[in-house]
Amino acid sequence: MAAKSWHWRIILALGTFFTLTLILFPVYILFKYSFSDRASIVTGGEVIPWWPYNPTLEMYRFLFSASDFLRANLMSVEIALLTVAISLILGAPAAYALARYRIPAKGLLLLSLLSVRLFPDVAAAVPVAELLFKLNMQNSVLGVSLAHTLLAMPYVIFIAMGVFDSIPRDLDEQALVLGAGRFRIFFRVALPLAAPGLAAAAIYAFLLSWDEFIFAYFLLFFSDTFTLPVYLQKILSWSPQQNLLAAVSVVLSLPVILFTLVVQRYMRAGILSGALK
Amino acid sequence: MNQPAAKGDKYQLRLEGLSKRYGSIIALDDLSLPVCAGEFVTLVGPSGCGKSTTLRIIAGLEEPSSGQVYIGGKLANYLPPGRRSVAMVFQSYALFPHMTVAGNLAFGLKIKRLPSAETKARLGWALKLLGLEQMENRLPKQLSGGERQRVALGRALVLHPQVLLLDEPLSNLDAKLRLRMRTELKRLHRKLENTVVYVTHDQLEAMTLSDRVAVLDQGRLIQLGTPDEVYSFPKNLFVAGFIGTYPMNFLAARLESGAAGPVVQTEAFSLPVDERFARRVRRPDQQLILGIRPEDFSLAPAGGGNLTALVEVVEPTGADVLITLTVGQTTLKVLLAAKAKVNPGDQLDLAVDLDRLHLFDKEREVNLLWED
Repeated sequence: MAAKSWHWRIILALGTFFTLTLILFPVYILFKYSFSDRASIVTGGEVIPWWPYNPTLEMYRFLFSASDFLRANLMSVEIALLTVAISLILGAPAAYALARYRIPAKGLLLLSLLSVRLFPDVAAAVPVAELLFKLNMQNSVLGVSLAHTLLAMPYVIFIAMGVFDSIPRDLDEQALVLGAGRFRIFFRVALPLAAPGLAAAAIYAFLLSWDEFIFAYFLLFFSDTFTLPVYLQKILSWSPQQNLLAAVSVVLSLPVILFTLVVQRYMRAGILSGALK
Repeated sequence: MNQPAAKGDKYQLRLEGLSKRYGSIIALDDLSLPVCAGEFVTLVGPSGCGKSTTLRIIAGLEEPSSGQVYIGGKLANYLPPGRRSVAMVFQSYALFPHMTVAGNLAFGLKIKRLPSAETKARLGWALKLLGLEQMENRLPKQLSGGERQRVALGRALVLHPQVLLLDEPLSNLDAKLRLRMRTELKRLHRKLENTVVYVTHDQLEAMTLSDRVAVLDQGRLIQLGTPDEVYSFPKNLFVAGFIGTYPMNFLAARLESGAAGPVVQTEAFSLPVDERFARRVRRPDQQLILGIRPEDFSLAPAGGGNLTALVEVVEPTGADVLITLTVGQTTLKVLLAAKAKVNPGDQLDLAVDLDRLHLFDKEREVNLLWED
């Protein structure tokens, strides 16, 4: 037994090591490039060093003085937050209703919710763009947010349905007997208890919007401000230096981490403990 | 404590011909039950007998397929749960886990928009009544099972409901705590004199707590009576078998006429009975079932009993001892005081309390002695 557990430990340690390397190595490369000086990248045949010869924040300085980059950041944040807000405000009550009430043709309803994602985004992008253009929402933050909500909503609803399903119905019924109306039950009982799960859904929606390229590309086609993924595509066409691209990529990752950290406060474990028995 | 019932109806709660069908399944079949103000009525029966459905219909959580619910003399069928002046304690307690004890207790009061002085007063009253004074600001997860139970009870009591509904409130507690809370419930009821409908599958809880017991089976109300009535005069085989800590002995029997009057003849022994029995049995070949409770046997001097039996198993329970005996092919369960020293293999002479015999018709399963 002891020998076996000893072997297992080695295997486990090696496995962990390789997995971590696989995940972290590219991240390391990215960071390294983002503050590398030019000589550490273009080495003229020499092996590229593990650590830049002269680490520099030059690329970051350049980026944060570029107004189009800053505007792209702002736009991405606005769109992502708006997407989170709209998809939660619409999605959470919808999920609650779907989880709690007997609704005719519920299966069909859920399927049609998902159907948005059944064909490729690129096929949906053109009609959606045309619709939003007709509504005069081209080049607008709201327009892109609505398109992103369309994409995020099915996931938000499905995640939130699972969350509401996990809250015992007894609590709803108890509140009902105590005289609470449907709205009070939703806002005072179901929603606070669903907060951790909804936080997860929010992170998901944020990420989805933050990453999204195709819809943003079409909807902002004639705009002079872009979301970060579209901005990245634009600057790629000038073939910029690798270290600048790396810096853009690093900056792209930060807000997601920040948002996750903020929202994570709601993701306490065991929020339902003490409800039953 | 109670708001008086409206004039013209002396019942605080009246159920009239309640039925509930789920598709082809009949969960509740024509149940009528009047409950007086201040009365403690228990619905008891095995799972699936319709007792919880009844409670949920009273609370307004389910609609009856037919029949009426009157609360305080007023038809409540079309009132939403919150407007019925009923409060309910769920089996799971259903405490709001994100609210403190005080928050849970005040939840219903806030909805009623009582003046804050009144809310505060009722809160203090409930905390004191249930011994939760120190726990006001705790969350449910920081409470023990018994404390949670009391919070759930308090949350219902602060509303001063006309009818208090309790759904198996003790079933989640361990045996010792259950006993303590049972006493506690009884003490509370004596003090508050509120109208209570209590649901349990535990006949002992039903017997110990209730003013009246309603025994349900397969959606039908079989018998409604005081604990003593359902114990001493069970209406049919089901009630006889369900009520009582130790199950009643059922023996196939016939009524025959002996030299000194009628006798009930079983396979193993016969018992002399009075004319009452003869009047109730219609045909001489009528198939009967004789019922004797284990506690209605007593030790008799040698040769002076109604039967002699061989002891097979002895199960001491402390004060009493449950004995399994055989007479010929028949097995009997008998409860004797523990001081009677009995060992497996003994031959026992037993006397039967002839005033406490039960006689059932085998086909109709009704108790012939107490048939209307």
